[in-house]
Amino acid sequence: MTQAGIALDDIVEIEDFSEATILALAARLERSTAFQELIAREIELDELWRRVETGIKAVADDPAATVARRSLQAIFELVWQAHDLAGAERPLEAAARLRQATTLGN
Amino acid sequence: MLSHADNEYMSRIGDGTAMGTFVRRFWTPLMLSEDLAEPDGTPQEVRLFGENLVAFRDTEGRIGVLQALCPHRQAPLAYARNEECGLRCIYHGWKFDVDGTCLDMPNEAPESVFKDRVRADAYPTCEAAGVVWVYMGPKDRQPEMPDMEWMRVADSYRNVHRFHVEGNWVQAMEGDVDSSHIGFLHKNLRDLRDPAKAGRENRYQALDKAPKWVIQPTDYGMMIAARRNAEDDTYYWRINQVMLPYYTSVAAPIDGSAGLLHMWVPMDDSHTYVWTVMWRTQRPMTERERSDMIEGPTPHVATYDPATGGLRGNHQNRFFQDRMEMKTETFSGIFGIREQDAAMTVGMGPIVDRSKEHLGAADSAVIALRRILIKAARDLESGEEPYAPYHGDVYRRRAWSAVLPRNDDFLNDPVANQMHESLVP
Repeated sequence: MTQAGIALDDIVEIEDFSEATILALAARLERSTAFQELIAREIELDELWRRVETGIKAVADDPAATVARRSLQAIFELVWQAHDLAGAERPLEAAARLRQATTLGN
Repeated sequence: MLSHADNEYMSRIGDGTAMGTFVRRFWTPLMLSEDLAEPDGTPQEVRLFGENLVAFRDTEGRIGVLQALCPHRQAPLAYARNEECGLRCIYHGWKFDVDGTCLDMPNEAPESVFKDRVRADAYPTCEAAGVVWVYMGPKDRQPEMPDMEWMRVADSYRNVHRFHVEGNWVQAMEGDVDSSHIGFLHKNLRDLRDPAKAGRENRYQALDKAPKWVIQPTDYGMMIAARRNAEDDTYYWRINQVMLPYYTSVAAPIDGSAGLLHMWVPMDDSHTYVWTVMWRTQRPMTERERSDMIEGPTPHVATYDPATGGLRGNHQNRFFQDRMEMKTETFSGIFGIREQDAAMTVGMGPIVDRSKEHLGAADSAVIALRRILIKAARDLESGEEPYAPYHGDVYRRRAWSAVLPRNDDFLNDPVANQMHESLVP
């Protein structure tokens, strides 16, 4: 069980792509080792990726959001990489990608 | 979601691909023995792993599986004369035995040694449980036969059926591990509206739509367990088995009296042989049970066309979907379990683009299946031979269901391990 009482093979609902959400997911990745735990992380990363994609679409036509859009696209790419790394049973590298994503700002 | 690269890696099985190399490590079901019933009978064309083949039973009853086209001028051997222990091409009379050895080359001079230098590609075969099996991997890696329960019951205890559908083998196979679709695609409206009146197993499934999933990789593939609340002091367990490379065994009835297994064998990247095996563990199947598979009120396959080996239902005719029936009887309006599944998986296209998916918690087993397959192919690519093909005994596992006293850790109990074991000695 995690500190919050959530087992690592439980799937946590991802409701946004805030820094807190991404860091929490990175922390869970760093503790995940079992097959089913990594499947759970992959599903969470799927949802995170979808949230970021929605964020990109929301600013797609806003000329004043060029910087934000670029930042979101970089985050999107890192989340995608993290997703594939989790699937390849490389959770620590996946977590590092997420931590890198939080340095980009959103 | 799966990246484009991983999707291609997992789906494609052509010669030289990583997944193609992996699936060729196993004995593969090719056709029913009854399709080649007669010695010196009609050769049968068959497509497997993207290769066109011809299968025949020779004078002595041996099965041969050769390249489909004569090595001489590439004429089709399906037209060949099947006589005196070999296939003789009707174009120029070249003749090959079940091992691919050229026995005769009558259009060359009698003293020519040309025939000693020509061979037809031939693959090892065997027959077991009424099925012709072929091995298409490296000669020095010939595996063991999978020792599955249905292969050990008497012929009269089982029914084996094969048809082919469009679509990649993995997307067809994924349907069998995607348990949540059963509550929709295959349901009667009556059960959905009033689950309390459904049978016991249907009721448990209908009332607890968010089961606790336990997915464990195993030496044969993976075990997928769904635990639902049953009565106040019991859980309803459904255990499905995925056995590499393409077998799925779906939870049997609670009394353990029957089994159901599918084999999702790639014809090529965009067509799949769907094998359905139903068997009884303690008695022969009745004629009614056999015929119900195709002709019953809820048939497993409703539109099988013996002339083509496929289904009459297809994406062009929308699998005969009936909009009126959708309003009154069934969720899908499509008749036949396999037709319902095929409508979904064929409609995805030849190889579904998984980078566009949005998967959730209910898709855990689908994700796990993909990871198991990709890892197995990657391991082999890096030099690690798969375990399962060389240990046929690991296939002695069965899918099962049971209502048991509540025990959150039941799967780690020795009793659970016994329940995985085949009921047929």
